Amino acid sequence: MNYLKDRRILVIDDTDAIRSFLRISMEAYGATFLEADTAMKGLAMATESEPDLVVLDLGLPDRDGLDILNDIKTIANPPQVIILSVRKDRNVKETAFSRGADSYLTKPFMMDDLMDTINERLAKLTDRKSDRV
Amino acid sequence: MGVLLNAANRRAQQLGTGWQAVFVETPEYHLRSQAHQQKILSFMTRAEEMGAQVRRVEAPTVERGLIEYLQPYDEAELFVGRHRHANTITRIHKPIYHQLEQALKSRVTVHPVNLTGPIQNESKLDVFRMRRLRISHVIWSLFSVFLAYLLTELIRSFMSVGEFNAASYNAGAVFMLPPMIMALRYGLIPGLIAALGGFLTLNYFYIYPIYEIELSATHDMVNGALFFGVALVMAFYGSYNFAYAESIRQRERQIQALLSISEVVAQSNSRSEALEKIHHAISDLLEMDVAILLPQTLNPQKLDIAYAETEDPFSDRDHEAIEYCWNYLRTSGCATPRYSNLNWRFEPMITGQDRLGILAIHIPPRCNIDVSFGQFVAALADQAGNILERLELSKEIESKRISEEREKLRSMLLSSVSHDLKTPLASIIGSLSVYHGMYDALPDAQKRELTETALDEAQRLDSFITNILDMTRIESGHVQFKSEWVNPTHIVHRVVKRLSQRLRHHTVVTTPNLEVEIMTDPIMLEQVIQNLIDNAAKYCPAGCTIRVEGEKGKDFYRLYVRDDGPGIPEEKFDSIFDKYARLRQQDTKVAGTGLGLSIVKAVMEEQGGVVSVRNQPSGGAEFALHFPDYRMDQAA
Repeated sequence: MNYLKDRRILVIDDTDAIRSFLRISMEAYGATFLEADTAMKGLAMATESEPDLVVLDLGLPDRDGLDILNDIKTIANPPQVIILSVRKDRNVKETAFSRGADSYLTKPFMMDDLMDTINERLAKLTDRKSDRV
Repeated sequence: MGVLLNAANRRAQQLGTGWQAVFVETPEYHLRSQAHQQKILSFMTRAEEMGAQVRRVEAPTVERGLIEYLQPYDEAELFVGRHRHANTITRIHKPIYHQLEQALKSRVTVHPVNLTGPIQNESKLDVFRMRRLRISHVIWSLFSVFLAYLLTELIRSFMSVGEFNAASYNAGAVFMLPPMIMALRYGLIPGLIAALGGFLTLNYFYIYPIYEIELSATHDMVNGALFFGVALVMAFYGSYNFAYAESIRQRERQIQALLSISEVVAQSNSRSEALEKIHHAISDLLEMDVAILLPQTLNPQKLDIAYAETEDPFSDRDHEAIEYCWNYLRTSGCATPRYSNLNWRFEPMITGQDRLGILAIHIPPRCNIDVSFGQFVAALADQAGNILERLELSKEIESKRISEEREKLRSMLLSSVSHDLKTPLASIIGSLSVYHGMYDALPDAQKRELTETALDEAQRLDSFITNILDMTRIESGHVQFKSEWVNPTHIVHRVVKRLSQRLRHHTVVTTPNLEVEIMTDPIMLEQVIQNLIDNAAKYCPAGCTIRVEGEKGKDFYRLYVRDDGPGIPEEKFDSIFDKYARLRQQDTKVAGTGLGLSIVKAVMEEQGGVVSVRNQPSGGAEFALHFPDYRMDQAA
């Protein structure tokens, strides 16, 4: 099932290559692709563009992804957040979840796995939205 | 005198309280014989071993010293020795304990303790066995009498015979000067010699019968005796002052010495350096042979002679005393209760719970050592111990700090390396999995973009891995550098071609000198140039120009890699080639292991070249590779 159609996906990652293939893949599924290569740009974009889902890298050049996680989760219509990082220590994951992350994937990853996770999160969003209606 | 200590110790134990052994240092003490002073030192050492706190008080008399010392105590018990065979003088004077009892009666209980054995049997004549009598002092004394004679003769030449004879006491007054001056300057015996010399000279030259040593007239006899008596008293008091002043000077010197030792040693960095300085300082200070004994690392029960004038200056008895000192941590040897007949004095160096070693001091024969000397040597040993302990501690802390830092860096390097390897790998896997999974859905342009990305990242990964391996190999010394004539132009072109993908957003201009060859390892030079160009591409935004240029000097060739990017921040110049530098800074702005520039430096140094970095006046960074030798290309 493809839940990406017409969804707004924001990718905050400083690696050009990763943003590049994520863009190709998500646009192919019909999502609107937004991207940022620093934490601050990402946070600003998350506030302005109200994405449905954010893919967040942790090792960003200006600030750590964990630092802006709280801020992202406290904006008006908080997006789903998937962490995508090479860090796999237990305590980093725990911190991420305690600050509101919805899923955690470690790099390197297979695109299928990321897509599954994204669909899973967007499905929750759709469920909740339909509940509300 | 052990009786006295035992009595006090027993009483203190009964009462369950502490006790003190008080030594009152009177000026008279300084006139006492060496043997007497050593006996007191040994006595006080013994008291300390029995658990007493040892105190030294200076006072004009023993009674006054004790009374003043006991002033602040509301309650105390005082044990004072009493001689059974009191001599005439003590019979006339009230015994010491009587005076003390009266002065302290309400607060202090005085216990006289009968002393047995030959304690005070030292002759009063011991006073005459003054220390360090020098022949020059005796000569000075005699000379001073001669001067007095000359002065008297001078006075006589101005007077008529009758006049002089009528006032012959003038001559007596003149001869009174030498004993006083000599006693003040050199101590008692030179003073007495001057007194005697003066008396004889006076008698011989000026008292009837002249030119004979004889006193015939009664008044002359009385005058002569009076003169001699007064000269004697002056000599005594002069030497008294002399001794007292000497003791004050000595104390001053000791305090200065303790201070200066810690100052001198404070500048040393290692334990051995500090020990050497301590040894040197103490030998200089005491003008005695000094040895420092330290426990062996493997067997702390055994001691090594670490610092001594000769290899093993100790006799068998000395070694026994050393062993005693080490095992019981008590002073032994010269003027102590144990092995007192030795020439060495062994002082343990202890701090807190640790025994650090032994300070051995060779007491020269006929040298005066007393309670203050004993205390001084103990203070020296303490001082030395403290210094050693401090060094030990700081060394431990330092080495712990270094190993912690290294461990931290190592784990940071590991995590940084794994991060830097995984990032391109993530891009490769991601791109290829999109390519593979959505092959049919993607237009050709996007397929190309995906494969390009994957290829690009694979190249980056390759260069990371190469860098890490190179660094490891260079560091472990396993790299065999080749040395051959190489044309740098070819290498630069090869690198630029290989990096064309990554450099597609930058303009690269290469103008090395075509006709030059340099002596280097071609593969390593390629690595160096690639790392520099890669570094420029990393830190310069898209659209920048990277220039690779050559310069021929008289006896050098330089290859420059310049860019027109933002340049290098001032504070980074020092650490730019340090492989740990990027780990220490917290940001991860630019992907990479941070090893590239460290490898450039290591390779260049390994080949006798130099790499330097600066910001160009026009902005942008400039790396220069300096090769010490070049030749014109044979093929060109």
